[in-house]
Amino acid sequence: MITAPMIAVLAFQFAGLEYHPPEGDQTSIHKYPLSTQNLGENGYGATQGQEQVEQDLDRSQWVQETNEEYHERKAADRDRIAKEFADPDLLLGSPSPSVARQSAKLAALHARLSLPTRFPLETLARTLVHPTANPSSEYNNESLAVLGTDLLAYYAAEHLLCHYPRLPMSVLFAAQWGYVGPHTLSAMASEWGIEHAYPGDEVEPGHLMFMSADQSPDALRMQEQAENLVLKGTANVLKRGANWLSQRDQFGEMHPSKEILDQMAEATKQEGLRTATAIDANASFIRALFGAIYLHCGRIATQRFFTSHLLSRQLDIASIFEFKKPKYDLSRLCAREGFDPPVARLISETGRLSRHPVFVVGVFSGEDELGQAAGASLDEARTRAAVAALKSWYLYSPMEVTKPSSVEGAGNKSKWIPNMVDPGEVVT
Amino acid sequence: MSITKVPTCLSTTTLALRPLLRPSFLPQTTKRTAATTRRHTKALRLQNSAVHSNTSIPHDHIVFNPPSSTPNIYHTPLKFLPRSDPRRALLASNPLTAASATRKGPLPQITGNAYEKKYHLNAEQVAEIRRLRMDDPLKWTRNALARKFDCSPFLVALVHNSPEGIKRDKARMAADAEKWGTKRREAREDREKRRVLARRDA
Repeated sequence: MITAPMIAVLAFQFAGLEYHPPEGDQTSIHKYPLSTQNLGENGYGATQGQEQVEQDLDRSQWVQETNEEYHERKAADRDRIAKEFADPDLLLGSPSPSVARQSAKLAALHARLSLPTRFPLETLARTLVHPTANPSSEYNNESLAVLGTDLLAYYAAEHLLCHYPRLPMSVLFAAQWGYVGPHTLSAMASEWGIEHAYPGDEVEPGHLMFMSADQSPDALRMQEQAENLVLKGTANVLKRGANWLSQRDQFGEMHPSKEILDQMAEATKQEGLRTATAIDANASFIRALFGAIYLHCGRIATQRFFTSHLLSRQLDIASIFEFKKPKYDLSRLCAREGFDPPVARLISETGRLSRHPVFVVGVFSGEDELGQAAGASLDEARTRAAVAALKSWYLYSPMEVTKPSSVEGAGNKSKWIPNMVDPGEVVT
Repeated sequence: MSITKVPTCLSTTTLALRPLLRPSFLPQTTKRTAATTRRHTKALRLQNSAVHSNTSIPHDHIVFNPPSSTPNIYHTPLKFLPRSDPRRALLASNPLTAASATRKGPLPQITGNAYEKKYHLNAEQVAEIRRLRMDDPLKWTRNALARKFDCSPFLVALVHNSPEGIKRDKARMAADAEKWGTKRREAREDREKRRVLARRDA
């Protein structure tokens, strides 16, 4: 038996820096059932051993089935679902959960992500089944993804609001999109080496299975139709009202209304086929994985996984800002906060009469400089200086932050210190 | 002539031609190169900054002479910090950051026209502005009214903003734009792009 790669996973190594085996590494198969040693107190490295995994799995019926039982059940499902869909042959299915233990790909992925030992391979296999591959909700990742979506939104929003309490709403939404939007999640899945496969019972479980929208022209047309329906719904409710925010998701986008969802379901039923783009399928896998980590390993493990895989990403929040009237906004801000009105002062200049002049302008309130910038004309420099001042107002970050989620839990001894809450952005 | 160190910018062809490119084969004008190089080197030979050659301090010390650059927006100015923030005390006590405390001489000059807000218009004058603007918007433009009432054009727009006027101006602008050639149109588009970048300070 080759033991070298397993030795490399040491208890004292930092989270996320363990040995990451390449995809399909056969040695990882041994790592999964054998490593019963305790790696930490609780949470990320926490293992209560193989018995705990078995206990967890005992409670869930869907992994208890043998391969034959799974196929019997699937045949029954097919009859049931066939009544709802036009063409039952399009129900493609996914491999039985009982074969997950034999998959080298799954074991390698489990080890590559340094998932806690008590996170079962069967669940990892389930997170890789998109609803378009297997419409049966007991075997696909839909329910896990629902939980994962909310967890991702919560942790990202909490991080942003605690660290940047003055962020304007639109920038907050854009930053949410940057941290946990579908494109980021999809890129993450690609970086982890997730491969796609056309769904089917015989597929090796380590692949992400979904019915790709690229595979049928009908599917593309349907997708367009569905998107148009959503857009139509959005246009109707675009006016800001009392429940403006409640109708929006974590990225500030409209939830499709009930009628729209019904229409989409109707269209899907008629065509008898559901498809997803690669981005949606990848994102659903990551969301489901977060949901599953939360269910199997708890809050602390989920937060640490979130920190090491999402918060470790660099997002330049300053580049998101775009002001329509920066000078006016700054003037309103100073008036609101009781500062002296902002005045642009020329700090230095060169080549005023040349083809490439440079002006360095600072915006001052009384004697204090609020922002400074260089520009090719006086007006440009003034605008840039006002933008710099506004950015440094909105991007204020407190020195010490206590995240609400970090003091949760019964045995948690850390002290809750209330965070700063800002009165809000300048509305002009 | 032995080449010990070959500059990477020279291709092999140039290197092969090198014996032919001796000074005697080149035009006379290139002979000035040596003198030009010497002149430029001399011109660039600058005195060290006074900060680095300050020998008056008897003990070892740290030289802090950062290169000039725009201030980092993540370093929140003193005035923007909330009252509870511990950085207030730190920044105020540091002579480098508490600029207002150590400023020598007056503040830099104000760009553009410095004006104090006068708040001198009364209700009748505001009504008058509105009336004039509605009666003859072509004659009583924002600037004309601002001159007459000694206020800013911005205030005139606050008092009375005519959507029809804006629509009319936009239509006139679009009609003008149709007559533009490539150069003028592209120059306008580039200017707008620069404006957008400035509003993002990117």
